[in-house]
Amino acid sequence: MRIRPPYRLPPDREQAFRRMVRLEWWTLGLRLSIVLGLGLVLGNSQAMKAAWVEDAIGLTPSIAFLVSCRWRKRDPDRDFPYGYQRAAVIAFLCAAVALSLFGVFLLVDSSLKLLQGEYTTIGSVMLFGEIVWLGWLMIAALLYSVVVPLVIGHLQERAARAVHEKTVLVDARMSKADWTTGLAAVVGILGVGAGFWWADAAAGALIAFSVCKDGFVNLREAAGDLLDRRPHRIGTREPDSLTEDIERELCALDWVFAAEVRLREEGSVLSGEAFIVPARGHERDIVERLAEAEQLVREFDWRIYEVVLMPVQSELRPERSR
Amino acid sequence: MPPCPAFPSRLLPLLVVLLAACRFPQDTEGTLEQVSGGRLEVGLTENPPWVMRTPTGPAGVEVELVRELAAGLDAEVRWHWGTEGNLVEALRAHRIHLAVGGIEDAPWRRGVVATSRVFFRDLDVVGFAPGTVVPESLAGRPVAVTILDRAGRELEAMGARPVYAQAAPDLPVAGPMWQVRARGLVPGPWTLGERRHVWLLPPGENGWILHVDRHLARHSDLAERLRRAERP
Repeated sequence: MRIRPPYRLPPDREQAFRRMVRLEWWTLGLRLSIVLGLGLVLGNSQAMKAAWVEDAIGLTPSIAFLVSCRWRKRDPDRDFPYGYQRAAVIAFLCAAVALSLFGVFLLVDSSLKLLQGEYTTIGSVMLFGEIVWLGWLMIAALLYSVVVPLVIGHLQERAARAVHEKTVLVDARMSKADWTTGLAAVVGILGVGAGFWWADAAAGALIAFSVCKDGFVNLREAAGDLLDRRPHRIGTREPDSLTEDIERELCALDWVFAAEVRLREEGSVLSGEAFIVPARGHERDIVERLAEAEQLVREFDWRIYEVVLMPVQSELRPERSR
Repeated sequence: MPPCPAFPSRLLPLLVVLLAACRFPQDTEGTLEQVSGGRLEVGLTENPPWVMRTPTGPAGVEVELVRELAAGLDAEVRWHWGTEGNLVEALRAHRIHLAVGGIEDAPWRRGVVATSRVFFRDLDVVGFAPGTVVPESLAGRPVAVTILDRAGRELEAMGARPVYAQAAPDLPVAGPMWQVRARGLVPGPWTLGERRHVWLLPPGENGWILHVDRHLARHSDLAERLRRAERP
């Protein structure tokens, strides 16, 4: 059995990666404090419930990334000859499914409350010997839950782009987008305080809608990864031109008549195949030539993990040939 | 003379919000406004010594608390006797403003009606006549308890033999701590559960609920009041 050689990040990326891991631990800790804080003042509010669920499930990308870091370090072995690069995708898919389901549940729940005209009761708590309306504490917790991710989100995004880490990028984007839901919940609570019974459930429904959206976007990303979609530039919907670049690079070799490449994303790295039609007269030393070409492809981009080169007879599309 | 600087109109919404905050939160149905200087409609269910039905009208520890609340709001109290079920229905329909009757917090009531904060907590204990020896364990021991009391199940779980009798003068008695003390009994070292007393309130009336919570928090002498009410 031929087991893949282990993948190693280039030293500068390795450093960036470590920085990102440290950042993710911080993120996880701060996020936990948000979930705890919101959980303490949850009360009866529908909007609070929705915001809380969003933040609680929002923990999964961080956890998924940190857990998968452990796995990803493992070298390919006999049982998993392709390695563990895709461990993060599994966790990512689970989080996306959970987010979508909870989003739908909350949407139905909030809409029912709205249709049935149920009033939201927000009680009071004893704080330093004073009876305080719980709504104020809810708002304080929500503002904390808005400000912290907004700051972390920016740092995460920068780190994620440096090492093409999709899980972290999605996490960062969600953090940054969450401020709207947090503020929606604040408006809901203030609305209840102003005597509008529908404010809370309406805010809850709005947040639930955004939870659904987050879920579906992540679901599409995860599904794309599992279906071996062609590489995309991180954080965009545009395909990466890397496939064509490598084809051009290979075609430029004097012994190559034509070349076609296909690549897929495996977490943050890329693998795939290159089909090469040797030029007439170069068929004899093809083994050495392919080894050289493989070296060339591997050094073309740091994200290339393994591209298998395959000599084929001329059956390629004419535009790919010289 | 320099021109008088105009009030920055951009600050006007802020000012409005700040003014509104003085009476924040507000009620959905305006209960606090209705009650202030008006009528306080109170639902009652009998449960001595919290709420008692006497020939001269309602009496009891909670009835006193309600009267004090009404006095603070310059409101006239109207009493309505009913079962807890009736009272909950009336609260949901916003026909009454408050329901009392030694009611304890229960998870099944959540989301149906609003409740006040827990304003009185007490432990269920077993009281022994003074001078008797308190046993090491309750296992196999007969303990008197009323049949509606949750403590009966707890006693069974502890291996004791609950005796559901109206009067059993020779037996140790299970009941809340204040009652055991009021009867001059000595509490044993076991706790059979906690009682968390609340008032029932109409849902969504957040300003009114806050007002009631503040009123209830001012009374720290409830154990003493209960003891006085229990003594003949």
